[in-house]
Amino acid sequence: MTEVLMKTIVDCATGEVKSVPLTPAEIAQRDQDAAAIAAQKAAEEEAAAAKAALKESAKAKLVAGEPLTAEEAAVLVI
Amino acid sequence: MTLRRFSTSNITSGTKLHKLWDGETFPGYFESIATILGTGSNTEINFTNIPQMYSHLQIRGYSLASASNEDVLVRLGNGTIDTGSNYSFHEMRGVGNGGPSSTSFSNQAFMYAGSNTGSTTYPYVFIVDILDYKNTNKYKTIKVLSGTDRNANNTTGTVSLFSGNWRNSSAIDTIRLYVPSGYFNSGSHFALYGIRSA
Repeated sequence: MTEVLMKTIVDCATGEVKSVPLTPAEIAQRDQDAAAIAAQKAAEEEAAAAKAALKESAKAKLVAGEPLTAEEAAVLVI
Repeated sequence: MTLRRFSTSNITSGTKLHKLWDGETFPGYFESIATILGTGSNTEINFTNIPQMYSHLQIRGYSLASASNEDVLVRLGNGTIDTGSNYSFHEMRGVGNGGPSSTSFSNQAFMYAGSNTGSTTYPYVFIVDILDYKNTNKYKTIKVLSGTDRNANNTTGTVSLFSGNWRNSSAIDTIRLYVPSGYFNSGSHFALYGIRSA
């Protein structure tokens, strides 16, 4: 059975509440939003992983007494 | 004796235009405008024809959505909802017991209001403040505080702080909360409040 996606609308002036199916255009917009969010989350995860790797590298260099790059120093200095 | 205007109706409609204040009862400064419930099939919550009599708006959401890790998004509008890339947002989020992360996105078609656990028992709660919503001289900024917890220290507790901007100077009279996949389970509720200036 195909899932029917609904939207609930309340008219705050009258208090009337109605539930109507999403139009094809609204469903397409919804799919577009889902794709945009997936891309954002992927970007966030990639940035977090890169930052974590930089921190680990900076820590290892500090312990070994090696010079840090500017990027490595930046992640250690608040 | 003090007179206060409570209604825009006129005498020909059969409704009193003014009411007398008894000198003791205070009109609410934080008033419920409307509340919408999750039905198990609705994916959008739309508040329309929002009265323009308040200074600020606040939404208190209690979301039990069907999809896990699915964000609750918000759009604004005047007459119709703006689905264009006229929003931006900034977030600071802490997940589990890890350190906080922050990020920002410009030219988006929505802002964040919260997230979801995909559970019917652990809700994701959020409060959205929409300040100066009817001011037509500036863009609109919102602030969101949201979070959830599942009694699992390392993984599923989340707290988020979002700011968002709608690059439009129109008065806000319509608001949409929605999930881009799944739907709001029964037990979810979303309440819109109006805040009057003192």
